Amino acid sequence: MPLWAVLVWLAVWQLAAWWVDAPILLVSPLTALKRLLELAFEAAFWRAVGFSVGRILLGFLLSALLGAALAAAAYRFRRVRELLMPLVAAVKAVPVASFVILVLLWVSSRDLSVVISLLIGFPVIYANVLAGLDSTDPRLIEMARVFRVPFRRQLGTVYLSQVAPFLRSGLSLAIGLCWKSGVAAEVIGIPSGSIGEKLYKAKIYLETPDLFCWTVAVVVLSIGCEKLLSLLMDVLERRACGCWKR
Amino acid sequence: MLEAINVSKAFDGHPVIRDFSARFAPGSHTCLMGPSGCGKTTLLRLLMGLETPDGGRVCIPEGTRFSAVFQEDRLLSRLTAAANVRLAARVPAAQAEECLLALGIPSESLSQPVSAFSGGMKRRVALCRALLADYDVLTLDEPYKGLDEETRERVMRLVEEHTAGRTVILVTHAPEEAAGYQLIHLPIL
Repeated sequence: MPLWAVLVWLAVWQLAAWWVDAPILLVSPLTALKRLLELAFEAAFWRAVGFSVGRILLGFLLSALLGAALAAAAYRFRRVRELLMPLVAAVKAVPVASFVILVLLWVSSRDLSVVISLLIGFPVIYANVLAGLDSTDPRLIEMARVFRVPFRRQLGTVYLSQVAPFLRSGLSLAIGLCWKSGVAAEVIGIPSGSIGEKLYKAKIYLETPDLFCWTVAVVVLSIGCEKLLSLLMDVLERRACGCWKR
Repeated sequence: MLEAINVSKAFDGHPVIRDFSARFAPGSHTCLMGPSGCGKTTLLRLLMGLETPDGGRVCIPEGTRFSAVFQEDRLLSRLTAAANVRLAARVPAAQAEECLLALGIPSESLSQPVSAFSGGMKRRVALCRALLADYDVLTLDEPYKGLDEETRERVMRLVEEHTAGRTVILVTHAPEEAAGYQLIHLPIL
């Protein structure tokens, strides 16, 4: 992301805040940053960040594992693919708010964001991994069969090379969605000590600087997770290919 | 012994091979020749068990290991030449690189992924992979496609050395590539 573009939009925000001139409606980026720096020195801020990051990332991890495993099963067995079609379509279409209310009947509000992140991330990862597997060149698979390449090695070379770009885009999209839906779930479920609770309280008490500050924190955490994930994928791909560099 | 008995195959109702029979004795070198579209590649695929005949049968002795240069190169574009070879052949990297150099792959290309290779270089990597893999029967589908005259001579000599006394089934249009092979002419149906 080019820095100049970020600075332009921050300037637009600052000008808009000056023009509105009502901090209760729109705080300036400088005010939000000042409040963020104040909060960063409070232990409660980091506890809330830890609470939400842990749960949302756990939900994301579970969605990645479930999505990839079921995509592999759907690629291998036509009946599994057919069976999952309506389920995936339904999970994609159901609004997050409906899921939150339904899940709250079964799960405590503390664990709500885990389940919601899982439900929102799963169809994205499933669809992307399945598309990647479907795009695998059957001639390469046939080549591997003729040369009796062990399945584990096929997985790391033939399949991974084809699926990796799809998996990368699926994970990147899913982690952003997990953050959006996970925090939305926390705002509705209001688990004590979560980022969602802080956002909810900022809204109730009309603490607009806090609202902007927590929103900025969520954006930074979401982008940070996406970047870390991208680095992790680079390392994994290099390791998978590196085994066979020579 | 690998054997085809009255094998027939059609695609979309159009017959490609009809009542083909042949035996491929261990150590024999056989060349399938014929005009384009006469079913040479289909016959190779039938002999390797990659296609099922509509009629007749192909007898593949239990445990037969095939190696092949396919009609297409079928290389993993992000891997190096040696990595592609070693995916199929259980040989040390040094042996794979030695064979690649002998086939005329420049040493400076050995560290590059094969996506950067020319068509002729990719063909030689596919050939190297087929020669170094463990096999009982080697099938070569136009293996010298895209090679210039000088390179082709060199590569053919290397193939001859590597395949002496082993079962090889070659598909080619060029009679000069079939020297020393027992010819089977396939008619167009």
